Amino acid sequence: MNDFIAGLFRQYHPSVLRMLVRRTGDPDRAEDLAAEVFARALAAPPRNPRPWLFAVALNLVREDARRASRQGRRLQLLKTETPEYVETPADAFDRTERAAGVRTALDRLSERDREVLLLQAEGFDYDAIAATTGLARGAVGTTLARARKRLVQTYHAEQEAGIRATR
Amino acid sequence: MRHVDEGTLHELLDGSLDPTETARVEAHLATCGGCRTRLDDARALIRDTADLILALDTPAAPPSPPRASLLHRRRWITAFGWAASITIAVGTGFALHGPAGAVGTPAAVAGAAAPPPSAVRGTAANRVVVSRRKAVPRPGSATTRNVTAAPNVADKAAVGLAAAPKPESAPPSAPVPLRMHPNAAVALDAPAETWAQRPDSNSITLDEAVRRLGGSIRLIDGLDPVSVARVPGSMVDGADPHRDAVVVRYLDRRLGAIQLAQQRILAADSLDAFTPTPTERAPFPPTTDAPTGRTQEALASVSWRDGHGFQMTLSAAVPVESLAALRARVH
Repeated sequence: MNDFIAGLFRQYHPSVLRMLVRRTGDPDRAEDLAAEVFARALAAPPRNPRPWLFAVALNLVREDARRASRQGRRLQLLKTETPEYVETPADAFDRTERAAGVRTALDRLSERDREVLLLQAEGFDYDAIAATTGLARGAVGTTLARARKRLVQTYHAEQEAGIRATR
Repeated sequence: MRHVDEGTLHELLDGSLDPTETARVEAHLATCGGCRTRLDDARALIRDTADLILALDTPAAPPSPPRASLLHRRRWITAFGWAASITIAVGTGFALHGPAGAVGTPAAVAGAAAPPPSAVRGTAANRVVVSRRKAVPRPGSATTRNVTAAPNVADKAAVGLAAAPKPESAPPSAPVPLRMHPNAAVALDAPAETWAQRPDSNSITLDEAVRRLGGSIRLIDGLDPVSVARVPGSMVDGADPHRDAVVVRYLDRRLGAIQLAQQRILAADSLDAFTPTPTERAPFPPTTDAPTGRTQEALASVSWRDGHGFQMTLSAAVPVESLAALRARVH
């Protein structure tokens, strides 16, 4: 076990996985991709780990690396405890419906817009977003502003369309 | 100067604008109503986006009631532990000193809880290095049935806080370690009249607080904040390590000093929002300020997650019922 990578795993795996689940909407696939990210880190330890890990994760999503990540290169590192909770059926219904609406809206954004939103949601500052996406530092604010506006507007437009459709 | 562009407004609210540029933009905002309106719009947009992204998180595992209830209980305890640590700092009239690292080794601090299901009381503890403040504890007040005993000792040397509360209604259970919040001293360590206005090296503006919290802040309707301060560290397990906690203090003529602490929690953790976990804290005994003989009121706290990814703790020297009413005004 490479201690350095184990440390990276402990520190960043929850965040990488969460970002991947949000990005793909598929927890199983996100798990595979996250495992692949850390497998690659083990093969070539990154110097600047956080942007590197997220950049690789986003690249894997883009390349649809599902097949590669399912070839058994799963890293059996220290698994973090998965959150569990009790949810009422009504809450579950509302949450699922809302999540589906947000997913649709997110899917309509450009790849770049999606990426800056998801990285920012992981606590990345503008420098880290620029380092991870290759975006110019000066363009991060504008990109985020646009992405946020589009996400919220698209979501609300979808909701209104849905309400009209059910009338 | 030219109006502030959208990207810069977001950069300002995200806390990523450099200080020179921040000063320039704030100077413009002070004189331009149009840009201030756009700043408010941007703030709302950031908050709405954060809420939508949180909605993407699905449960990582199918609901599992027995384990979930354990987890529930654990979170409740840690949330409560933080509130308790504040209460200890105030109630005893002691304040913690020195760096966070110097503060918490095990000893015995306990908390008593208002009705909640499992009626957990902490026991195991914290030996804390404390130094004496003005106030002298007056343990055993009539107002507090379920409450931690305050130390009677008043010595400048380090004191071990030990207490053993035994709420009559609660069944015995294994000791639960409570975490001493490293910044308890920042919270409440002075008489009610002064703490709300006490200058604080961590004081920040409301706008900066919004940035540090990640786009939005909860305030109490109808009250004007007296001070706003950042508190590095985590209020609870699952707090977003990249976001400070923010403490907003109010001083109300009728209710006295009120404190509202809040911090973003990580999205995975915010799943708890679907099962809000309010905790209530029985009032701590009133204490007397030694030099003036003035009594400091008992303090009550209530903690909850607000459904939008925020951990909240409201504390005030009022009865728990009044605190619930006050909580309803937090938006």
